[in-house]
Amino acid sequence: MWIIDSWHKPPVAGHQQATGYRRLYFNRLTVRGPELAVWLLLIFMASCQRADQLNQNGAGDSIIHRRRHTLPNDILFYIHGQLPGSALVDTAEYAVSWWSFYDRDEIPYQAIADFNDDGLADYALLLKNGDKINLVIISMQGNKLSHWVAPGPVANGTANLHVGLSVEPPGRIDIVRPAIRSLILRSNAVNLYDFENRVRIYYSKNGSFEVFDTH
Amino acid sequence: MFLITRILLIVTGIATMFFFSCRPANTVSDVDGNTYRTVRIGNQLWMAENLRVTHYRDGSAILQLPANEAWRKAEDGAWCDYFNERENGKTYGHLYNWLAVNDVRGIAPAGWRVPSQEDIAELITYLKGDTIAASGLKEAGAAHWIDAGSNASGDSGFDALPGGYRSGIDGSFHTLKSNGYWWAATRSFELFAWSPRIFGSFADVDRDKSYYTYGFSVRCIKE
Repeated sequence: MWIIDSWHKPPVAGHQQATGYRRLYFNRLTVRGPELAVWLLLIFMASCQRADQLNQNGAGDSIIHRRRHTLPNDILFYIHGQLPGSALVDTAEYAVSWWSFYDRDEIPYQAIADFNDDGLADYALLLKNGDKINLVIISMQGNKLSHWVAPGPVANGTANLHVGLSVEPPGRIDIVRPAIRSLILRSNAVNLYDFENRVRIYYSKNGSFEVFDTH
Repeated sequence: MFLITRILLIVTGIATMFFFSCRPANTVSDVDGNTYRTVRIGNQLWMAENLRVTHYRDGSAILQLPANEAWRKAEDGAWCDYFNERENGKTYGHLYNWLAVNDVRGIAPAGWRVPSQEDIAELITYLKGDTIAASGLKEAGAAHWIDAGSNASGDSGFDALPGGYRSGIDGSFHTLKSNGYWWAATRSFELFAWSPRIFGSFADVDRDKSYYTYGFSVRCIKE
């Protein structure tokens, strides 16, 4: 009510005048009723935040297309403690020509996804050990981490690297050479690339990982 | 008396307009009485939750098929919950085979429908392209999505959840909390925890009818 009062300055103090003011006030309320209704309606509509009108900004500029992901400390500690002599590959060790195929904003030596369908993130990493590059998949088993090392090194030498990892989602993989073969992936798997060529898929099966050569 | 009548009319008018402007616009209910949040993205109005309905729009039941063999061999529309666990259905919505999605009785609430490929294309365009659209579509945080570094922002309010899928080959369940699969009219679209990109290549029933019996989530769009 004082909103209206503020629109119309009260007259000077005095019983008769105050009474007159109240009379005037009600008089104006009846005159300005529709206007008041419009104002109240606008206030209601503004305060009633409709969920279907809240998201008009689309993806927004706040989204940054980044694939960089810092490994959790648990994983780094695990590598240090359980895989002695191993260390993560560095992007500086990649061949210059590698970056003609891939975005410099991506990390080629790691692929993170749930590879064994347990609802937890698993970490496929390229680790150097001496002059060998190995593929290691670190997973949570129960409440502790464990790892699987792919048979044989995926590369020799730690300079001018040209092997990388990516995630392969579920689907059917068909290979026509040297023989026709198919693989149906039910869970996410790990792709191993040599430059732009996929050479191997590592996929979960019966609690371990298996290898499917694609080259 | 005239004054009181006028005031009553005004108050009644405001209350009526408030009711119609606020309450129904941000939710939609299905034939079972489940209520879903909605979100406007560009010119489209989407459900902001996965579908949980168990009846077609005419009231007839959609088959619930927990057994793998029955799921694999289904020739009619069917639904299930991931691992057949009710809690998964409450959180991530039910998984439906394509036969249910395509049934003429209608799976979507009245005035809503399963999105077409054109609807998905419009959504992607509004979200600035397929290479980043998933970031805005996915629910932010690690409450449901595993942390695989794709930096989901949740900006759009679509709040996509990774409900996984059920195989049409053997009825097995896969990729809960990591991958989300949704039916569009004749194809699926997918979001993955590890990628800011929206994908659309898993199931295409026009090309391969074996995908009829795959189980995916459903999001409806306002007609």
